[in-house]
Amino acid sequence: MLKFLFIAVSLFSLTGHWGVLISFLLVISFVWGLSMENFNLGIVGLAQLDLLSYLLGFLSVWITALMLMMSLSVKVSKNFPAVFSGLSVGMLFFLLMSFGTSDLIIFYISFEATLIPIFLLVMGWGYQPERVSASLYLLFYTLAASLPLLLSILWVGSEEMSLDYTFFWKARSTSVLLFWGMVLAFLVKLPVYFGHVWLPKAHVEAPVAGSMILAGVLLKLGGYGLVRVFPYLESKLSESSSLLMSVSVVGGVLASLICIRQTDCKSLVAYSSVAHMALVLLGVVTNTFLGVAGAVVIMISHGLCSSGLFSLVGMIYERLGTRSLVLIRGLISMAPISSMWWFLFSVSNMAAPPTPNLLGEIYLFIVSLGWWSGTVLLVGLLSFMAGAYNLYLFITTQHGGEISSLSLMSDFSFREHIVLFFHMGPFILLFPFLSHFFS
Amino acid sequence: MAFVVRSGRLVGPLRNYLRPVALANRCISTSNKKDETAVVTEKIASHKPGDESHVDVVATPARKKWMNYGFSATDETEDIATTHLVSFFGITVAIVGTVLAYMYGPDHALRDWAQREAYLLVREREAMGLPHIDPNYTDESTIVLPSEEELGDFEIII
Repeated sequence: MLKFLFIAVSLFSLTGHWGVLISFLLVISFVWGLSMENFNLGIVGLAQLDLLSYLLGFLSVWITALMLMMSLSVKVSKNFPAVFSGLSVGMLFFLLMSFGTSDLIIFYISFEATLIPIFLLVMGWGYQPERVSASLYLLFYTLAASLPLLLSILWVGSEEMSLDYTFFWKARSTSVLLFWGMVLAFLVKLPVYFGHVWLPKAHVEAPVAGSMILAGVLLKLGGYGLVRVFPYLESKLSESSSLLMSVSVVGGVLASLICIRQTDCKSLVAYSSVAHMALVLLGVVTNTFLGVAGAVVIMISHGLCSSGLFSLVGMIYERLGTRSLVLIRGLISMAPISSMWWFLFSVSNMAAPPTPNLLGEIYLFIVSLGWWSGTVLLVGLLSFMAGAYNLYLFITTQHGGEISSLSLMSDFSFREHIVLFFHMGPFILLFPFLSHFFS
Repeated sequence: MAFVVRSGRLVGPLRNYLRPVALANRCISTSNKKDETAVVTEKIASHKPGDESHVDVVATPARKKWMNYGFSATDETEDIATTHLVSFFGITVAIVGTVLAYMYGPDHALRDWAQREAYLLVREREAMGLPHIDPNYTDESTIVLPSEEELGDFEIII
């Protein structure tokens, strides 16, 4: 893991030259992609422990490269571009550390450390005055919920001989406090319905790059933490599973119902993130192989799809100066090539074949029906509403007559096409890859 | 077999389709003939803003206009260079390279090994008369369960 951390640190020297920095990040993702020799638990080869760490590390590097490509307006307006790229690289450093480590306390330190760059990104480069409140919500929700996590980790460290994940396969704990202490932080980070208030605020106020990394990778830290911590808490998990399952499923349905009522594109995509992460929690709580597999597949595919949707909204915002669904109409006639990307991302977000979103949802349907057949209503409703709000987003933005005062808009440049291609290409290529690994 | 023989007979008629295609493809060079003169247009302004000197058309050949790739609004070199860098490292190296490594890499995740090992074990166990997979993972005689007194009130969740 040190090799990757040294590489990430060396990227700080490149913060002045964005083109070179982006290319370097793409090369790093290739190098990470090559290190797929062994997916057993334990530190072999380079940084990753197993398939989940490997995929999420890949996602982190990839999304960091794409967020820098999208943020050219920061460089053009000379809005402290070196600090911006330095914060992105710093975030990548801590993300790689959190996904690559096998020790819980190092995971906790890097989990908390990623909060600082995203706080500064939202506060510093956001668009409206509300960004102050939004960044504080983001910081304090996560910080307050993760204090019990720190205490639990220290307690586990004193009880067990080591905090390494490899020692966690025995379900040793029967303490309720420990269970909720460890799980609460990740539930707020995911976020599940009751701890989700920070997410729409943070996404609406964040710059495009901030939204991309937040939806693409930072939410997955919650899911990743749950996957790592649940083996230790298995006995308490089986007792609390009905509560967690109902929170995740009902919360997901509620989030998707709220989603369809949004008037801000970014808010709509943010609530769709809440609904997708509810599915992740569903998969992890069932404590089965297929459940965790479905959760992992959804995490990876949502990372790419949601990041792509935020990029699309950002591109429209740069041109029209608004994110309001009332005003963004008729894009299919104003910028027809962008409509192709809008269609592909909307359709992927609603889990249409052949996207890996569909693969994850199928696994999760199987697992949730196996847990209790009554979930068919709610998970089915969740999936239906996903189709509904994505269709609503596409039809509202693309079809209809454009507002006459906003009717002049250039179509996408090469840079924007390649950013969206880099989201979509791996997304489609991942489908056979992921189904092969979890078959 | 019949398919092979029958498809061999297609070669004849196929030539009838290819011949007009080949004839239509007339490879004639369209460069200027020796008596033609080039048409001189207006002076072309240079691309950089603020650069007042105009390019002398007679001395230099006509440049292709810079189509902005979106990476820089002002500097053409940086724009084109970034485009090339990002396209090469992103597509050729990252996407194509990773897919190549995955498809042609050695037996990763030990799938092929596991298949071979399974067949070998099946053969061994059949030779010894054992079932392919024992319902008991470990030998029952080695398992020592706690007695009822030791368990006491401990709740067993299955």
